[in-house]
Amino acid sequence: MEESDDEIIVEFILEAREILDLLDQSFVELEVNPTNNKLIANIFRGLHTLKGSSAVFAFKRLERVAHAGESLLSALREGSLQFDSIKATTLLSAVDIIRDIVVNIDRHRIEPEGDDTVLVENLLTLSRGLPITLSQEIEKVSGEVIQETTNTASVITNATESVQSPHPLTAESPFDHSEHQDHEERAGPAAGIKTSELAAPIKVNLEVLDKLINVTSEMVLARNRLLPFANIYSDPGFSAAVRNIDLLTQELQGRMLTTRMEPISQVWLKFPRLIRDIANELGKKVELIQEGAETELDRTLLDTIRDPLIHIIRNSVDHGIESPAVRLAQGKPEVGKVFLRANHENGMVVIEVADDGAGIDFEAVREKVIEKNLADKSEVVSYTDSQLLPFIFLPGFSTKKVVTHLSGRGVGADVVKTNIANIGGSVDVESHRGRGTHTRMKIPLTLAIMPALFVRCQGERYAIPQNNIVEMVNLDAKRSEYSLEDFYGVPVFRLREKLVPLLFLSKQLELDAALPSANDSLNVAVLQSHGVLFGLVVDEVLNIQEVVIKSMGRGLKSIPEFAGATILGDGRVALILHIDGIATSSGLVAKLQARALNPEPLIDDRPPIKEIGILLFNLPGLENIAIELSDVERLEKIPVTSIQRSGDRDVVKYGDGIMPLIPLHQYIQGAQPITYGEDKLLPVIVHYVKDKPIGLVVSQVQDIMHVSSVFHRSDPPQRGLNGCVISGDRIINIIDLQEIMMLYTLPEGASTYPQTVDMVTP
Amino acid sequence: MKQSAEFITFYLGDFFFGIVATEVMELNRDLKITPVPKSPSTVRGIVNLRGEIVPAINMHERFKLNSSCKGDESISIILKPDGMLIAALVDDVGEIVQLHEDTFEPPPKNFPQVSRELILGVHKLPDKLLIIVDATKIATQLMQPLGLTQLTSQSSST
Repeated sequence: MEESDDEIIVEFILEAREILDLLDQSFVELEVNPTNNKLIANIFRGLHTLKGSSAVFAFKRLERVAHAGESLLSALREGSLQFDSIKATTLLSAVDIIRDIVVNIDRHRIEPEGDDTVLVENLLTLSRGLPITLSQEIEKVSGEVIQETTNTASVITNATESVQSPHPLTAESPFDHSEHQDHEERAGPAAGIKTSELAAPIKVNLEVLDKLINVTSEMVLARNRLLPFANIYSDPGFSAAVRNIDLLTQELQGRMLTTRMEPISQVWLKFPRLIRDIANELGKKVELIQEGAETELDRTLLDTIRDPLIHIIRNSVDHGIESPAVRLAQGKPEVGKVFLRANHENGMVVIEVADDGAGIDFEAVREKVIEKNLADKSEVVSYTDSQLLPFIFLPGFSTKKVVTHLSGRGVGADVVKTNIANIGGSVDVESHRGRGTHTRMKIPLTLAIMPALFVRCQGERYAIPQNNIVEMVNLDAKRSEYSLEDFYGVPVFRLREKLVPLLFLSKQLELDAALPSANDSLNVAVLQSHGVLFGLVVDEVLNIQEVVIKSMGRGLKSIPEFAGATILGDGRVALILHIDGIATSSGLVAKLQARALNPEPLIDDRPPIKEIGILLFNLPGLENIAIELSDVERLEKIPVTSIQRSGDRDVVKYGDGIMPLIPLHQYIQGAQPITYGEDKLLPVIVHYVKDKPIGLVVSQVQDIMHVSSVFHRSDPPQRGLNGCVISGDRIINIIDLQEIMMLYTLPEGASTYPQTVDMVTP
Repeated sequence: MKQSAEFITFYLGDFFFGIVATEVMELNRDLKITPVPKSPSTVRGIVNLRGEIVPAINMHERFKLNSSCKGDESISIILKPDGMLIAALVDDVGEIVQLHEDTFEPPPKNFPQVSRELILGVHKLPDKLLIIVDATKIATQLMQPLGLTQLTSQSSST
């Protein structure tokens, strides 16, 4: 009996969590659109359901808080009260307390002790239309309860009656179908996500789904065995039946795989609330813009990306977005923006988080690198931002001087990177001082299926996940360029001037086999793991195939060389190699870290100090001004007479298209207007944005130079200028093309989103 | 142990074993075993049981018998104690027997100590001894290298 009780509680907790997530979302939306009665009704129903279920389990605290919240909502719903931020905050802290209690119940199966009297009274006071005193704590929505109010025990019973009579709903789904149509008409202003999908789909245990998928894959294999028989027996009825089974199986397989997919909004649902809370606490104004919330990915992956995403978003709001005063002073809009975007790209899901905040504090990173002695100090001082960036991914690296409960605990970018790498994904961060940070995560659609290369070793087939494979090489001892060398006991070979260490799969798997002799030709898979490049020698290279990854079961999980197993078309099992595990347990990683193999070590993913090419040009009033060569597509001289007007823009015909001309002087501080006569040729720097040409009009193009890419930021920031580089005695200003582009596109007044994101996309 | 129970019987070398029928899911003859390098010697490999990956246990090795597993010709007894599926590889399967508690005795002393833990006891049959094994213990502690080091030289699993 106990077990079934437990099951019911688990179900209750699942339901409660779902409701709480929806409540968070709805409340934040409600703040934007306080008169939306449907939202209030939804919240009311959610709380009501919670209350009902709590009563069943005799969770008294839960019931009481939910009930008080319900009272207030009831008044709001009837229109006798207006929704405002005090009510929102009080209600949200009620949701927080409920969440705490639910978490506790989940852990200990009992309701935790606690006194919610103050909160309950506040809710009830508010529900009667009376003001309450908000203490600091509740302003922060930290789950703390307000300190003082009047003691009104009798109110509770009164309110109970008043609420229960008009809405005798019992423990039914909080968002039942009858409401569904209404919700569909309502567009949530706060987000691209629809909260209107409140007609909850049925819940299916993940285990059941996995079983079904298993059975389906088996069905496919059984079908494969059946197909040849249709050719042997030429009975038309039989053939037709087999064909039918074939088609049905295909359909079944396709549909089964989609059952694992869920929209990313499942994870995003929490973010509006998260951002609201952090922003409120820090006194910042932040707007969250979401795009692509409907992008689907495997359910198990959703869990994995949740924490990294939360971390990144916290960082954006905590470190990135500046306080309103600072933003205004810098000429930015008072409200900071955090963009969240997901979409499918080449079979991967790309999730981006961008903000228009201050960017990474590279000087703090530099200090920290020096303080922790992570690189040669004399070099670090002249590192560029892009050289400093990789350091933030080192374990325990935090620039935050003060650890807050929001961020800065050293659990940082490295954890994000590791978590994402574990699921076969990658993370790229780009940050520009004063302009924000853009994090791009690329993750596979599903963990369940991935392409893998099959190899043979000692008669058995093994699969190597394709995301580890750099290339395949056949080493032939007769061809001298591939000769094996010995590097402190590690066999290495030369791959395009780089020394790459070799591992033998048969040796790593402890299959007793003689190692190939020096004269044999070797099949080498060049693999990448933890930033280490190495070659893995196998007997034979077979094919690339999509594999369904399965766990090897409890007992065998601990073998580091294997990531799992997969079932092949013939029904046999093949093991999937865990390349990171092989690299680590072979001792290669440690060896290479102790002794760098290449002068520019492979294990070091820091970019070498580099020079950048710049194009020097003049503007009236500004000399020694330059644009990065990588931004320059072409230089043109355009006759003034060919310039035409398009709206308020100057354009010219360029090739088959139209190229807008940007008068650079308008966007760069200190520049004066360019004057040109009718007959002149205008020097134009052509830059491509998304395959479209844009002409930057300058007064004279001077020279191309190569300078050290050490950037000196302008302080205070100069409009249109990114910073300076030093070349000999000259200080050369580099223009901030992205800012210029943004300023240029602003007046168009098109939807703000894509352009602002361009700001942080190169 | 109940008053009376049904047992599936099987052979490993010269020994005659029994396992409570309720622990047995099915018998399987044609499972293709994929060896798992670096796994304990008790694990012969893994098999595909209708889409689920199941470890195949070399029962000779599990009981530290000085006999060897017949490899692909083995019969798999699929056990599901504790929700964890395993395929126990045995030489041959005998009939199902119904036995009463009164013929039940503790395990014999001449059995290797490590394997005695896996044995619930024996039934004295008219012509031979039936050794009753504990399915749960066979499945769990799979990765514990019971006396593994002494036995690597006679590793018969490959």
